[in-house]
Amino acid sequence: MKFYIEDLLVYFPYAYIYPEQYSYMLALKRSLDVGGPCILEMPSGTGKTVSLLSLISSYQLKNPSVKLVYCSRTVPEIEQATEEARRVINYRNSELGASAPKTLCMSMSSRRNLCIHPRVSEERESRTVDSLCRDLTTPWARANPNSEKCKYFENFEEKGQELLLEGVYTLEDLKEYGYKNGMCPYFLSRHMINFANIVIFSYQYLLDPKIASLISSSFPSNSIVVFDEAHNIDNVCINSLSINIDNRVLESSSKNITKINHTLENLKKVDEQRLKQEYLRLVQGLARSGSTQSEELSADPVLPSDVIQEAVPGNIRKAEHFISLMRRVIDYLKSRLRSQMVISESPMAFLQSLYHATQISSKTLRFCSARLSSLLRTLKITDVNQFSGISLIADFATLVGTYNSGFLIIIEPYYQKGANQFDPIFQFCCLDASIGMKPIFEKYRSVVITSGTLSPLEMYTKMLNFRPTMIERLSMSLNRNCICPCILTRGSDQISISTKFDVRSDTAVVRNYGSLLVETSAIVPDGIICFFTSYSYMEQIVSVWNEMGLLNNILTNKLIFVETSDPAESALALQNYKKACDSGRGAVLLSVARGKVSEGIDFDNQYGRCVILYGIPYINTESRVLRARLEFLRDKYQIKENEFLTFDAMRTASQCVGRVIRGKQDYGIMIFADKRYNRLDKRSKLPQWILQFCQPQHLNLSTDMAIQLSKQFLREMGQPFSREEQLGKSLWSLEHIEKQPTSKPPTTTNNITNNNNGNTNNGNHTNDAMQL
Amino acid sequence: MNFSKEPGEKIILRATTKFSGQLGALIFTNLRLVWIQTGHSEPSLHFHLSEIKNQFVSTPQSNKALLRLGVKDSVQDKIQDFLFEFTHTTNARSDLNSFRDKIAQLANLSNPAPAAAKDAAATGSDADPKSTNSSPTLASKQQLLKQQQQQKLAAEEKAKQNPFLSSLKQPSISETEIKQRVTLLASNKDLKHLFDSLVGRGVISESDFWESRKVLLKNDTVKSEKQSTGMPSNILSDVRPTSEDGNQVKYRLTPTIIHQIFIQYPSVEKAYKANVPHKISEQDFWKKYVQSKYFYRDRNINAPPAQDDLFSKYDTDELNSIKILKRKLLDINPLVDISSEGDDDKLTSGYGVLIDQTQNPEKLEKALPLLRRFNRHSALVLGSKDLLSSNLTETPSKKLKIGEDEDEASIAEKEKILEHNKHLIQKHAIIQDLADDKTLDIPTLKILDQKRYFEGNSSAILSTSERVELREEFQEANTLWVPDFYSIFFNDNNNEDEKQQSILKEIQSVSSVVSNQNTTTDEYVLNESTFKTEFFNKFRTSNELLRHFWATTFTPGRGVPPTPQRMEKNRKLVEVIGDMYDKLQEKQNELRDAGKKNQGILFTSILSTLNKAIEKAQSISNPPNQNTIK
Repeated sequence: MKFYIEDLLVYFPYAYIYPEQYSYMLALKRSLDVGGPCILEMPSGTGKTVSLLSLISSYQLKNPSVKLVYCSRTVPEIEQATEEARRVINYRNSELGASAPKTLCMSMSSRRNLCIHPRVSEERESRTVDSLCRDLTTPWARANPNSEKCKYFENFEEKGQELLLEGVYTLEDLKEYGYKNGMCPYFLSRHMINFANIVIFSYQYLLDPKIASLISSSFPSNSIVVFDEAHNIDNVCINSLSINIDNRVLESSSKNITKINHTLENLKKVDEQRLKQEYLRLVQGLARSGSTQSEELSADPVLPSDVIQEAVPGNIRKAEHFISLMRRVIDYLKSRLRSQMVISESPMAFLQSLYHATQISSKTLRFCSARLSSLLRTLKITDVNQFSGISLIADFATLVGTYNSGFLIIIEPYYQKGANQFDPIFQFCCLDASIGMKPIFEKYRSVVITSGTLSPLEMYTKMLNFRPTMIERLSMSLNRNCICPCILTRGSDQISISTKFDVRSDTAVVRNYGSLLVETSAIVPDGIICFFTSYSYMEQIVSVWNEMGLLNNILTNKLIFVETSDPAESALALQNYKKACDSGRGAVLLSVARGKVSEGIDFDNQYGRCVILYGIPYINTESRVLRARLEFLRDKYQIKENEFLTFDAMRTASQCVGRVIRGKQDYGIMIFADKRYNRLDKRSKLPQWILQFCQPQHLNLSTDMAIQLSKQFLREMGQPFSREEQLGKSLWSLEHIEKQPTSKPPTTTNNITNNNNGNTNNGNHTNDAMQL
Repeated sequence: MNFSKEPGEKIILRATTKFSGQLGALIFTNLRLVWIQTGHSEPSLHFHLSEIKNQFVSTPQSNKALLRLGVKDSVQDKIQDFLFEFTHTTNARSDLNSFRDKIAQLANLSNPAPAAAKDAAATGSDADPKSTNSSPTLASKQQLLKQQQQQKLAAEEKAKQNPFLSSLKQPSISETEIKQRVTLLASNKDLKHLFDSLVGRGVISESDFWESRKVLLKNDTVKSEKQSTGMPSNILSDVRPTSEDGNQVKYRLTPTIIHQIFIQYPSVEKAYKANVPHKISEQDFWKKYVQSKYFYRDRNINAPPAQDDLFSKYDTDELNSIKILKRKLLDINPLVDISSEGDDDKLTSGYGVLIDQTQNPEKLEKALPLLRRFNRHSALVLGSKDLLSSNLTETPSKKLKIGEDEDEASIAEKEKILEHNKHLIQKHAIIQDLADDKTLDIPTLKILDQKRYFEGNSSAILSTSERVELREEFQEANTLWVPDFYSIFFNDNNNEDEKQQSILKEIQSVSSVVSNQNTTTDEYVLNESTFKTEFFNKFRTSNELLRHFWATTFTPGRGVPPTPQRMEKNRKLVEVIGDMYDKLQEKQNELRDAGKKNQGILFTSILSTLNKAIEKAQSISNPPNQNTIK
């Protein structure tokens, strides 16, 4: 259907719309009008992506030069978003008919997911795929007439540059296109995203400077950047700027150096000219100039604005000199790793002691990454995977030379938990998530941060250090309670349950947890998902349940699937889990709150009728990195440690439980099995749309009470639920929308007043945002 | 021995055996397997090696050396079993072994491995091993006692073996099956009639009648009762002791449980295949199993026991095979493919921070066998893909080197997967709540009255007068129709060849004449009458008879010699067919006399098919002279 939001005609590919989708689009539209960052929370499963895409694609009709950059976390989410974009654009263009603009919507992912080369695409690990691909596609490899070539890449090189595409390309479509036209989908999509109206890819392509400067640096600054499922965005930022080094890395980088030395010696004998050319190039310009798409695997690890734009200093222009400098850095790191104490120091202090020991200045260090990449190119090394050690050290050198505040170096001698085993690790960690976000906020006109679980919103504005022009937190409009939250505090035997460290291994707690699952598996149809706080806790509890024979009791009701450390194995387990739900046997999925299943997999309808959350998924506060970050947040952004920990735990929790609802016909039980959830300070951190169902009868339950409540809930939900009941309340048709004051079609006379209305409303909203 | 050999045939092995109570010699030649009863010169049994589909031998513990061969009956297209007992006083066992080896070598046994395994499991189950598992501080006296017990069990096993085999041959029908048959007969009038006229009169046996109608039994009308039951969700292989008294723990392993154990732990199956019965006995094997089972179950708590554990070496294989799985998952729903992020753990690659050590999946390593067991079990129950058994990750590109064609094939295959994945995503992307629902309930085709489908209009739809009307209308249109070739072939009639026109006109006139001759006669319309029902009944009955006749008939000296039952059945059928023929002949004559010539003609085809059968029967009973053939 088509309708107006203020002065914008929106093409929405469905016949009905949820009221919250309308409000969401309204807020988004106003934010786009003003520009600047905005932060929007919308209940999971109420069609966030489709609203977002419809609004922006309609907005693009008015502003054709605006590009949409849509970032999501996982590949399944990227696929889904692209598919929804197809619906939106198909609908929009079919409505427009002949006047429809040519639109290209392009998704992108790593080589691993896009490669179609028969041999390379079989590889499972991204790094291997990257490396094998480089073997086939680097200019020097292709220059050799005898070398094996990738026909898809060759074809792309030949014809791909002039290609003009139109339409929507999911990763699947890209591969299919690749097969049909014999063209490399990866390079095609990498090339095409520069011309696409809508780009859909993962966070890394925008937030990780190593990749972003290769992929997305040329995007125009009037683009709209959307971070969907952005509740973990701070961690993405931090991870992309952090590095950790252990003895293994140092060993392999030492080996790398020896190898480079060898190659260098050989090259001197064979083709000294090449080294000289490199030298001249470095004298004249930047280390990275003159490299092509297929040559570079990663760029500088620092943000684009911090990349040093100078010629490489004289003392590392010669390859031997640079190698010896790297060796000194490695040796120094080795000596630091021998420490028997935990050390944490600022990058400044580290640089100083490095300078004392080796006479290497911070400025020289900043060039390391670029200089190494130049050297590897000169030596025509394709197997970058093998040289990951030395690359990591060079990246570290560049980072430590560039950044000072917001970073910390922590050296831990007994890292790998194995209490007394000496296994030191050197961590260069970013503590400030806002560093990574800053260039995005600065560069792009509109940045939309959205998710189903962003509560409390203020936390994000503080952590990411930005002032949103629009804040919106939508609740769910419903005419039946399709979510049944149960705050479970004790077992049927009235013994309180919790995953607090001191009681989590108590037999009574473990048994109560087990019997909870046995009893729910008996009453809940189809799928049940359980989330444990950690892998180790899951391991522990499952083996105890096995001992007790509880698991076999569950098996009489439902099949059991477990998420394991192997993603491929877990993916298969998930596929089978869904099959079990479809077939009617029903299944229980045991998984981990911060694991891969908890992100990006939908358990809609029969795939998730009940979620059980065992305990509060707190991060382990033993971690020094975490403590350092907490301190930093306290000092810089005035976020109390406990506040952050609870926030982090609750966002994980709500992310887990939010997986089960998709659409209003859907329903699910959410069991929070820990007595601590009953406390208001924890509970209130849950998103509004879950809290609105949390009536007093859902609090402080014992297992038998929860089962009783669930039974009743399921019986209610089993009643027929027609669209007519929802219409007007939780579901709108076109006529409902047209009744909205903000959706008056602009007539010649009304146009101005409406716009004014919109603007004043807009102003009000911004004020609200400020007050929040 | 001087039986008539085929050209180039050589005798390889010979042994004295018993077959269905008769003594004789089993001879293995390079072409076939022959059994000659003592005192006869020509073989009473012979089958070609290619017909042998499987073979089972009795366990070495059993007193008798038995060889059971599954032979594919070329006529009936099913497997028949033949049981030979090797009777040589001293060398029976070695005879058996050499026969077994030779057959395995030369005959093309269909999947010999699983068959053997199944058999092993079956015999194992027969034994119903109540393995007694005692505490490690076992007194030697008890050991002795147990051995005695085992011997007793072995004897029991032997006793049980024969009924087991015989029950395989003649499966008794279950109550549900009977119910199905009854419901089917009640719902299908024609079938009921056929059943009454054939089985009711004892022409053919009930089981024969149903044998060829298995498909009907599976039909949806009776399906709800015949739904095949899947595997139970429970892990049966997790055997717990049934009774514990004193120092003894008793386990009860039923065939289902053993089967599940094998599926559940491939390592156990491997160990079983490798060790039983050559190295250790069945009993000992299961005893060892239950002892090691403790270790298996409590793996993450207790330290591994002594090294001589039977299973540990097979076990490691299993774990390794998962580790080896380095290939990408290909055929996986993209919506659940969490492996698509790549495996480069942030931490191992050196980038990023891992804040919480307890989150590290590596920590799971210890409990992995236990957790993996559930995934595996559940996958097996669902009958779906599983890491260990799957070839999910196998791509045809391994054959790539063979040629470009293979490459194309693999691409086509991958494109198919892509297509499927796209469909999955598309389906998922639609928010059903918001979509305009236009679901159409398309009724499934379900034919209750088959006659209506095959024989046209039935009284339920059209009244007789309507039918007549319709027919007349059609006939009218049909008679008046004149093919207008002219306008078909030549659209513009301006410049026209005279010759062509004349030719076309001629054809036209001829064809219209032909169609005009199609005058209406009542004879062509088979009205609903006693004649029609009778005719169709006769037709069906004779068809049924003929089917059974041809299934049981045989040519002397070729293929597997018929069993006495079969010959008896055949003989009986011939009689009935003869009767039938006479009756029909009479009927036809009757009709012809009454002037209903066309109706009479209808019987001719039935008569001729019956005649064929009678001729065949005569050729069997009076074999043509051997000399003439020679």
